[in-house]
Amino acid sequence: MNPAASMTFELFTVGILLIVGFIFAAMPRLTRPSLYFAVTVNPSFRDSAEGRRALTRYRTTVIAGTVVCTVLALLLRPGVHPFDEAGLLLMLVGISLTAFLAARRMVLPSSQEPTAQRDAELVGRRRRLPGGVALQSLPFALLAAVAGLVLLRWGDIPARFPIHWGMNGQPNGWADRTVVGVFGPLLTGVVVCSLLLVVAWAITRWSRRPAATGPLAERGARFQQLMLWVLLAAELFLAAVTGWVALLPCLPSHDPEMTAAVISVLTLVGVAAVVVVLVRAGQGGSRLATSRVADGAAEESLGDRSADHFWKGGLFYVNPDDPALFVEKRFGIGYTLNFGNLWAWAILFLVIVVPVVIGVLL
Amino acid sequence: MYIVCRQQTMVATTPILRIDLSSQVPVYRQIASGLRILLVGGGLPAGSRLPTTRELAMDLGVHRNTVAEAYRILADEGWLELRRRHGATVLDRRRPASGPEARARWVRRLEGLVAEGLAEGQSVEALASALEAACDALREDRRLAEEA
Repeated sequence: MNPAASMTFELFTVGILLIVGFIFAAMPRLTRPSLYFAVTVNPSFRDSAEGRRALTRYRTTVIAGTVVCTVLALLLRPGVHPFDEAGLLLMLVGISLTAFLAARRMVLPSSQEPTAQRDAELVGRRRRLPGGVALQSLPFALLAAVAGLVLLRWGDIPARFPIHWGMNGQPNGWADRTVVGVFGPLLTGVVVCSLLLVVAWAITRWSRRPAATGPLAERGARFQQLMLWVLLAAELFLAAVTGWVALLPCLPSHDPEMTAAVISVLTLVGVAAVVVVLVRAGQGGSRLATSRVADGAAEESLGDRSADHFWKGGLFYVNPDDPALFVEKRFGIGYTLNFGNLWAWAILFLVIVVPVVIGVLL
Repeated sequence: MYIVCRQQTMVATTPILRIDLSSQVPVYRQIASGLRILLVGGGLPAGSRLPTTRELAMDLGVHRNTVAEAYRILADEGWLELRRRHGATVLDRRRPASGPEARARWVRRLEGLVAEGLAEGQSVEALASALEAACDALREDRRLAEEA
């Protein structure tokens, strides 16, 4: 294996583990003050002795888990067993979630009811996708342009060519020079980008606003726009990657190991950039500065308008009576589905199963 | 005591509906009352489209049927036109002529409200002052709405 590519993969694995470990360690302080380990509490609780004790135990476990997984990643030979890398990541996530559940149990006795006062805008509720139709169609335009280019260079495509590479940079998936074989990656790109677009649109239509007025409303609106921009960036990245994979058969002289290494580095950089943006925003935009001075009652209402008992394990929101399809995560940055709503399962099925099925079929 | 929360005036800003889940007043009545205050005060002019029951229920964190019941009450009173999947549209409702029976009904309700307030320790003067302030505020909202 190319030594440069080998080192790149190793750095990629270690980088992902460190990023994930950092996110888990930082998460409790990136949440709204009134949501601590997914429990509704008084905003001053997290600075109390009990709150700090829960945080210390949690972070100690997460940091220890990150160190162990990173050392294992460095000891393993990268690329020989690609599932080792995925296994280490799963192990780190498992350790962190276990620590989270333990911390949550410590915090639960201090839980409070969410604020009973609610407000809602009566007009002008709809939010638009960022950039409008022009920007939202850019990923698809990119894929269409690549399709045109591939069509023009059809004669340069060999009879059989690789379309999937393992973590070691070696091809492990092949296709024939057929319409399905050549345009399969582009089709995958179109499907995945379409799913992300549907999710973005659904967030604008079927997610709850944290407030109608005040700094909380302003942060919520800005955070939602930020998440929509992140989704658009993900679509553009995926369109670029699948477009590049579709172009590769037309470029027989390329180095597949370096190509895979470059994509890995770009993925790592992209993930790191998204992490920085989301950490700066905080859960629900709780760390975003507002243009308005806090107006007392609307500044920090307790909780997120949902009772703690609807949050199973603090991570999964299940409320069949809540019409919201997306709600802000309580632990994590972004949105999660309301699994009490049947449409949530439909979306989950589409987002997970459809790309897998396409990948298998192609 | 049933406390009427005066909704934010809306001539130059977006109308806001506020409810209190800890109140003993059923939520659907709070929603209907809050909307009625805005409708009477001119905060929601004829032709305005209210959110769908789903959207409003989502933002308030209540069941969709709760909002639907409030909309139905106002539709029965002639304030709203309800269309499936399009939310509710504010109608140009002419002020109905108030006969002696309607006035008597309203006075009985007011007496009940006043009795509740007195039972909770409010003074007659405070209740009268609050009623006068609420009427002044509505009057002012309507004046601003007509000027806008």
